[in-house]
Amino acid sequence: MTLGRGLNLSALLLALAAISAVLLIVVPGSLTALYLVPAVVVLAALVFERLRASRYSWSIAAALTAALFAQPNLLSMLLRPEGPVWFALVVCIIAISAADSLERRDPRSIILLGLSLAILMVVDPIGTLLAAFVLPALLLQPMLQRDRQKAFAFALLVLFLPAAMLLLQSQLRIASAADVPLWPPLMTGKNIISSAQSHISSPAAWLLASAMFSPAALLHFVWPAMRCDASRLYVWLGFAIMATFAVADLLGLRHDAFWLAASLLPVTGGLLASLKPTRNREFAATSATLFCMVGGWATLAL
Amino acid sequence: MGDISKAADEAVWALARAFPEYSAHIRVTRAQQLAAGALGVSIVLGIMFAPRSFALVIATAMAVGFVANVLFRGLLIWIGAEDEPESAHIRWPADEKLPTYTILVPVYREARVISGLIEHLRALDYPRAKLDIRIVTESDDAETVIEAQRLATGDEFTVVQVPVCQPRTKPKACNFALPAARGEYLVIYDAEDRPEPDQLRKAVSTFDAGQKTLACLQARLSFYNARDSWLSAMFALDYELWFGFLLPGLSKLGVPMPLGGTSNHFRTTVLREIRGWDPFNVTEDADLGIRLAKRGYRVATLDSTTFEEATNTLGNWTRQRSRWMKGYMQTWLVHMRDPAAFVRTSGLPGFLAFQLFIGGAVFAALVNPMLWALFLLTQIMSFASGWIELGAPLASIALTSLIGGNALFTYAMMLGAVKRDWLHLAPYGLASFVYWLFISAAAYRGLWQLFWRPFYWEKTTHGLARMAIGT
Repeated sequence: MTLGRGLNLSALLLALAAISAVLLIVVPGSLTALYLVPAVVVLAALVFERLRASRYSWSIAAALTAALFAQPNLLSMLLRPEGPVWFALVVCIIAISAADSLERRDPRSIILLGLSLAILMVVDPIGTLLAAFVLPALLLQPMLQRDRQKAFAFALLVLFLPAAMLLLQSQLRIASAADVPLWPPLMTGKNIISSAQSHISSPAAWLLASAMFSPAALLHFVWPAMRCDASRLYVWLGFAIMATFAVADLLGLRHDAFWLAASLLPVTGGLLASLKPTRNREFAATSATLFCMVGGWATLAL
Repeated sequence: MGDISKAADEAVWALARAFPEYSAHIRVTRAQQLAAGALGVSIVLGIMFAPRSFALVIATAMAVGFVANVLFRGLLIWIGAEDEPESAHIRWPADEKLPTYTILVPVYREARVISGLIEHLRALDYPRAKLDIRIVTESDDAETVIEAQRLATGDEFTVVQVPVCQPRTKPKACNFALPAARGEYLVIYDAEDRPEPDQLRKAVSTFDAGQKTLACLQARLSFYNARDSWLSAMFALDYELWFGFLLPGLSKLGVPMPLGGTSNHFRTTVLREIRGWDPFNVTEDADLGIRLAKRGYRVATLDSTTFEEATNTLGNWTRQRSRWMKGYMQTWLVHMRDPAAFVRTSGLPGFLAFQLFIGGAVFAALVNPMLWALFLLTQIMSFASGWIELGAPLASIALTSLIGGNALFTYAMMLGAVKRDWLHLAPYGLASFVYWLFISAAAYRGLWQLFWRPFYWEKTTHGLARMAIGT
């Protein structure tokens, strides 16, 4: 899948996987954070390229990307081994591939979408829940509403790999007659941040976590000239992620606000990129994003 | 010997005389017999002296081969999914610069589809004066000969009659017609084919834009009657996967690519240089693709579609598929006579791709029911004492391969529907594991025929389609 101006996602992911694998082997233990740097860089590159591909100027795209990453404490959390960077990366690929597969129906995007949903289920227990919320958000898109038969087939294609992953996980558990954590550090649900004060149930944490997404979504709603099918998709994806975290919180799958903020980051980037290029788009997007970033830090300071 | 008899003799033996190492008229060489014998002895000794370890080794080998084949196909799907057709940005030459194009259409007992064939050939967007269309019939098939002579009127048409001689195969008929071909380029169509009207122009442009080593272009094949039955829908998905993903994947990897069925466009000089098709190989097209690669020529895919008729009855489908499987076995045996030479001419990646794609297709089809049987056996025997020690690892191996292999195959089949936006066919793909068992049955039938009727060409009946879509 080529993203925008020739940045090849598969090449990026391959490079990331290679760098991470090498660093995991070469610098184990306390230095594991080193391999998180390329992951964060790739996440930023994906958001930046998405913005550039939709004709934002270089400086505005860079400013928007920087503002998205400069939410209160988010970057430092992303760089922690137990932080949400992998989760955010997978969500980013889900968002990009969902938009591409609905727009172009190209096979690679559909494979990536199914695969990333399946991987999400391994990366985190909340993944299954997120997949369950993302699918209706996709199926509600006008591109699929025009042909129900095709929507059904599309759902099958997207759901197949996650369903196979569920089967495989359950089979492995049955086979070993025990709960087998496939990826122990991530399957335990424990992380440093979960003990922080910003637990998801706190209204202030909700507000902070969704700070960047909400104004971007508002731009879609209040500025009809900027609205399009793709921006609608990102809005729905954002709501699906927020609903997932709310339900997860009710179910006791405890996640802190940074996980929600990290998941909404690529979706917000995608949403800003998908807004129609009107005369005022750059100004509106930059003002809203900067305002929220500054507001977030100010709230935290107070 | 008269001219006709001499031409028929050349059609049968030209390849075997010039390149005996590539002719399938010898099924297995002495070295291959020895290798098979050694393998047989090892199996017997293994069963006799270490049955438990042997069972594990065999099951593991089957699973590894099976999964490797499926993973390679996954890689090809990923590579082939990207749309970068060879002919995307090519300018078409003016009419006066177009070369003469030969179209070979071998037909046998196809009288009822001749009128449709002529109609679709006439619909081709190419100057009449530069077409050399040869309807190649068998001289003992009077009905088809008469129908072809009645309908194929016009200077561009020639009805060729192939004298009766063994083997009675399509490649022999094509070889018989090849020497008289006048075209700079040559294409093969089947009797029921409906090529897109601009296909010849696209092929000329692509050849012109490519290097001289580009010897052959394979157009995409698809079906106009995909919704006739469950079987035709599965077959359509199968073809979409093959021509939409797997062959473009092989082409992009630059490894040997087996040609498929019809709509193979050649530089005629190259075709003559390699002595045409192997009349003893029942998938002569697959073999030809490998031979071209071994001689340093390139085969690429052409962004144009020929619509065909999907076989929609189980009997017809089984006959066709078992011939293909037998042909793949022949092709594998022919090109594995000298593995070292293969590596020298095509490189290690080419050699491995051949093993996984041609050998792997047959291997996976033969092994799939064994893995199902092994899985069921371990489930049944798990209740019996004494089986726990052996049964658990065997069940794991069988299960992993089955879930992994069948799931990936099912997903790949559903994906087949995406490129052409035939998403309504995708749900049929869920039944791929049944379709794969049919393929396995056809593979065993092909294996049996390889021993007892190696050169027998099982005829596929055409003209049975009930409905048409997508044309």
